[in-house]
Amino acid sequence: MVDPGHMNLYDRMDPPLRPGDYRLDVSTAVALSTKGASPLPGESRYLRVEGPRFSLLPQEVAGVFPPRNAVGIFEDALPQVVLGRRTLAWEREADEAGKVVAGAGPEPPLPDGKPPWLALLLFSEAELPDTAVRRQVDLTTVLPPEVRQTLGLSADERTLKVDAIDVDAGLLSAILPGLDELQMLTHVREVSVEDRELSAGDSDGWFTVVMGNRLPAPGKWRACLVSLEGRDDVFNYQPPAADGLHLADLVGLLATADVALPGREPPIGGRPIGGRPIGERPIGELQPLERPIGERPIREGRAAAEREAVLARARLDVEVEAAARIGPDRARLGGLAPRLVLPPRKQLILLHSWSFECEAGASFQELCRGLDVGLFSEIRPGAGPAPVVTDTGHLALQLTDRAGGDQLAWYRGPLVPWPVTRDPRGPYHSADQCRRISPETGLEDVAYAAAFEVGRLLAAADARLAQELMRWRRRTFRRSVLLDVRRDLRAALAMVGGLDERLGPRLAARLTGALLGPGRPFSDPFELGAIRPAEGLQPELLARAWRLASPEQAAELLGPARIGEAGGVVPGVFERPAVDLELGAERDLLTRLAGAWLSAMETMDLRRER
Amino acid sequence: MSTRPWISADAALAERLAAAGQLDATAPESALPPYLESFLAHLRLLVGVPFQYLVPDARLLPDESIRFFYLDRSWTDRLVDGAMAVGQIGSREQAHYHAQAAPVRDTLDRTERAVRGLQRRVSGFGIKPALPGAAAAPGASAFDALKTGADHGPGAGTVTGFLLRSALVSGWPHLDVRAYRQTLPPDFDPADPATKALQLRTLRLERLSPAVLLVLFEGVPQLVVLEEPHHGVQFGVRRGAGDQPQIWLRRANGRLMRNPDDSLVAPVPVPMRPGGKNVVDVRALRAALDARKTAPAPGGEHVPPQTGGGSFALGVLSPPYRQRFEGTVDEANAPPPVRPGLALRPWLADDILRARVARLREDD
Repeated sequence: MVDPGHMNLYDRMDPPLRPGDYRLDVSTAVALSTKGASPLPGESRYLRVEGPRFSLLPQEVAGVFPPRNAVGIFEDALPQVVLGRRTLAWEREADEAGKVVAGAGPEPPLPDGKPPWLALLLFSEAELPDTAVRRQVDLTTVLPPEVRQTLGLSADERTLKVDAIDVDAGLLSAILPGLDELQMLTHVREVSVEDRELSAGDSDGWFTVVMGNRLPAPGKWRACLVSLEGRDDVFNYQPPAADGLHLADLVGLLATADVALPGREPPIGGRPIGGRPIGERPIGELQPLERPIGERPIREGRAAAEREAVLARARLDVEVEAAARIGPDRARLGGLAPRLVLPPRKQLILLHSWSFECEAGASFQELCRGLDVGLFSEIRPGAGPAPVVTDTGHLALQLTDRAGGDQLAWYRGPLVPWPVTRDPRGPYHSADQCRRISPETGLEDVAYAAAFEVGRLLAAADARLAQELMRWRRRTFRRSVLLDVRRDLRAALAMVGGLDERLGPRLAARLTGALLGPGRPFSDPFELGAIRPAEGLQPELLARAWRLASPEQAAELLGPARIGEAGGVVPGVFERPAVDLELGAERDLLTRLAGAWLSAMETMDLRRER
Repeated sequence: MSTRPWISADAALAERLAAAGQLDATAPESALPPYLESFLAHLRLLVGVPFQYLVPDARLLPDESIRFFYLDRSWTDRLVDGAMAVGQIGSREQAHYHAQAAPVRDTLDRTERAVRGLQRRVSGFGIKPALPGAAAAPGASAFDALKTGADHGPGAGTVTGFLLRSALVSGWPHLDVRAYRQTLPPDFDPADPATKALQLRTLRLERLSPAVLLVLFEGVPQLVVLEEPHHGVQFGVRRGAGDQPQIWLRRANGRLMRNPDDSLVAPVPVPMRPGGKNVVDVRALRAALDARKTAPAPGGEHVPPQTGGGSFALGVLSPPYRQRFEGTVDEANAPPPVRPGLALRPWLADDILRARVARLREDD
């Protein structure tokens, strides 16, 4: 198990069983002491191990770098593709012939095991235009016959459709990793599945990583994961010229060559007319082309390669000449033209590809090192007049005041170079309240006034905020009114305070209902009797609940002025007839109730407002 | 009786019941509506404040510069005051806000820490807020959920931060920024719990424009780290003198090889294939790396030999670059000027009075 944030790297991971057809033979030897050996009948079963070969499901790709379609500075990054299967790269062989021998070569010795069959190649947009990426073509058109032979394709496989790329053979050999290099560019990585990196889906934390060997330059690039299984032809390819042959050059030459050479017979069988075949021509006689083909240098320091290059140029020379001669009569080109204008190309099976764009620019490191570091309000001397900034970070600004006059004022944003104290005065209710004068300079400091206005304008621009603000205020107002009503009611009813928080509003609601309603009962105009049964007002219950000595004690706690017994003027509804009311004595209480009612009405109004 | 309490439960209850007003909830409630609270908390972190108000003069933040600052709390308080002034048409609203200002301020001091989680639509502590637009559960908004995640320590700490105007911001959109309250060794592991404990909370980390980054921290950092974004583990080269590609030697445990004096050992130049196609000569590079191998040491403190793909990958490992900014001068004794004009020195010659922030070292 790997700790989060750590990873383990492994050189390779060979599968226990490579893809292919297998036969499983089972035989059981049974030996009985009395009868001797008597084997049970054996059995054979066939099994097939399958793995990706000519295509790769997108799910197998756990990640790529540089990111797909990304635009960024990747000049120092080697591209890589992460595959979600640890043995994938070693399930097949690029080196069928066994040319890479472990322990061979100069220091350091080559590692054990076969090279992987996957390589990540990087092509610029010009080297691999979109037209060179071919989707769903016949497998037989991609693989040359000898490779098909090596791979031993089944009849089904021969009709497969695959994706392929079609690239210049010279270019391919220039960028293709060597067989021994393939092993270095592929490794297995184990990461913690808790690590957020690469832990896509139900991964077990093991990945194969295939790295490219080419650094991108500014421009558009396509990274291609290709299969090299059995591709001896691409590894053995000997470039005719290291970098010289380019289709564009040839086409350009053909276009400008003098094609009018009458009186000559067209070539037969691709053999140039006039003069000896290419191979017989002594090198010394060859004339260099009038303009160089390609600008790139020929591989240096290697006589063989140089000779090869000169030869190739010579061949080209002759072929161009031939092409020029046959130019007028293209109908009789024979087999010559394709060989002439098309430099050799190679097709590779494409398993996965993605594009990205590399931008020119400094690297992260260079940019970081080049940063101008300072505290806010530091001004570097430079061209032009520098702004006036004080030690405190205040900036002198021209201000047009509301009278229309111009004046100089100080402004400082919320970002200051010093720790500053927090203004304990406040809150402020208008921007003018926040204006300050700096006595030392006699100038106004509008920093906080500006802040106030910014806040106000930002809030005013938000319709929902204004509503919420209003709702918040109204809620507080209502709550405040409610508290007042409750207090008033409590005072009016001369009740024991805090018996039940909810009693007050309930009473107020009943009161207002009763006062507004059509049929006011004479017996109990204020419906005070309705709250008499409340548990909190029953001395017996209270005594029991509070574990008092006697109901009298509870009654004493409830106070002398209990509901319905205030001076005996508001009698129990069901006990005494209404005619017994003595209004005169009740007037005092009624006045107070009327006040409470008004407060309750305000509550109602507020609710209606909402 | 000695066991008799000062006051019995019954008596206490009776007292409470008898003393009117004791249970009066007369204190005004300050619970802000979630939307309002969220808006004001965002405002506290300068979300939405026009850039000209932050940087009133372009020369304060030139190209390719980083500027550290303290946040002026009074300024942000005034922002909130201003926002609250909307609809303040009479003395009633004014009185209301006057009474509410203190609790509102205290609330926002705590809430502002939840803003980043809200901006990222994740709580830092595993509480998933409801999806935006989904019907809010009664009584509990996504914001409430976030707030319960943020710790409710004392509010109103010092807020610091920096503004970065650089191609770094546009070129590396997801660069990592972290601040620590004390300096750490070069190869520190940010995932280490001990390191995490030293990290300052990032209150805001936002691109204001394609090339300007605003970062706010809670507390005063001693070390600020800019790190290349982590897009998986990468491979690549570094550029040396003359744009020559090179790689720094790595030990088997992945750390950079250092000399005893803590300097990096000389890098390995990266050989390229001829042909000008920018193709790394893997074979030659491997040999060059192998030539620098050292004797095995416990804990992977040696440069490993080249045995295959894994060791080669380690060699060209190019982890995210980390740039450190450390404070150098303790200016605690230098009294800061507090008002404009006290020392009106436009050109600011006195370096002693200035707080300095300087780069100390780079760290790969």
